Amino acid sequence: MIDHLPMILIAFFGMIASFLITPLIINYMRSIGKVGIDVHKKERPEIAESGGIGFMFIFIVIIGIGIIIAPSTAVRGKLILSLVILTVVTLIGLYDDFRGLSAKMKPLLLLIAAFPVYVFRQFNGVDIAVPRPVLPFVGAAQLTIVYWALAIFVISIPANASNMMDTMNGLMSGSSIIILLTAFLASFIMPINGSVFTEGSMYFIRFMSLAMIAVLIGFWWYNRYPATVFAGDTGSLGVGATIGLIAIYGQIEFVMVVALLVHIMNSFSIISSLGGLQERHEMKERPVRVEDGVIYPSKKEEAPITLIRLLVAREPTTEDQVIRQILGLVIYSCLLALLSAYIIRLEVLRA
Amino acid sequence: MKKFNIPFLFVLTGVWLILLALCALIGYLIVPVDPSINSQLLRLIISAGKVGLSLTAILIWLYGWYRTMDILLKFEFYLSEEANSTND
Repeated sequence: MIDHLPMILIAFFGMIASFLITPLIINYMRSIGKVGIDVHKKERPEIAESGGIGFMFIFIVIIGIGIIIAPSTAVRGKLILSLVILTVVTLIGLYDDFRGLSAKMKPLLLLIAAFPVYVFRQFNGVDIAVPRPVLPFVGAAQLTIVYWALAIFVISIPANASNMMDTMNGLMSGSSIIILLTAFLASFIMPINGSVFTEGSMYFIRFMSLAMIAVLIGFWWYNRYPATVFAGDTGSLGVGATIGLIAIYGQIEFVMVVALLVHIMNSFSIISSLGGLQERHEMKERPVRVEDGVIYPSKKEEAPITLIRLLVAREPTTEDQVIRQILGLVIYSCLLALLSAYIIRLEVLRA
Repeated sequence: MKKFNIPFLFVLTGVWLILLALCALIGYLIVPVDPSINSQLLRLIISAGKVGLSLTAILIWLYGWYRTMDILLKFEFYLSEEANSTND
């Protein structure tokens, strides 16, 4: 039986801490001149950057507490590895925010950050990464070789997808809250039968998703439209990596892929239209232009095809309307993810 | 402003259905090798063939998804621009 009270209390204090620490980060970033222009606003205001440092620090502390109160060896092992990986990812994000990384170096470093998932498959003799993805119509699939071949992207793909979605006020934080809530709800749909889904996997999903939702809500309050802080790569990469870890250690890979469909759609269209990975400042053409607070699509062929460009191409509109539309699409993909979780449940119960 | 973006909902549903179909295919491929086959070599070839087929199916899906998304999104963008130019 999973005891939810400690994780709810920890998450609550995490939310308060995130809510209190973010203004301090904003003041600090402003004092050192770490600000960026909000290009989607008519006034082009200067906004504090790298606000993700605050909530990622609190989240890592929460994982530390989680290691102490972990109910089993398997959960403790998963949390220790998550702590290590997320610390590395946060440091990569920090370096990128302050020194800058090339568009190719960033995903490469994120691939390396996933190495502990490979190296430490067991903790004190207990399996912590099970190479048996649970799929609809299949159940727990025996795809060991294919699984490990694809698992190397477990950090890189969601982290980059989350990073590419962090283009408008509260979009990355808001959409991630919805996706993590989906993971949390999916853990109640999956049947705990001991053979496919264990209590440890479900505890891990609930602890990690609840804690990240809480710290993100504290941050989202300042990041929502009109934003006073940007998450920076520290925040967006960290949140994406957390979603990846929940997917692999919670054995809900398929559910999380479906929940992330909008993010992946956005990333794939950008990468394919640019013919590879590029940093924002390397792009020859911006995907959109702003006139009097209204966002218009770029008509230039060489501009990247982003989800925002596609949405405003249909009807030029304001930033808050675009944000609502994208969040609506994320909610839809998350409903499909929950439906997928229910199909998986039927398969597991049938087997 | 439209409340629901139907083409994007259609694309999302389409990609989700393709994912489910891929799972059904993998489910068909991972049926255990018939233990009554006496030849060890034949069993090994069948097992390796299944792994190879699963891997190929996933790679085709990844590439197909990449290309399909690209084409669909470009087509959507083209249609939108056409609509905008008609309104002008």
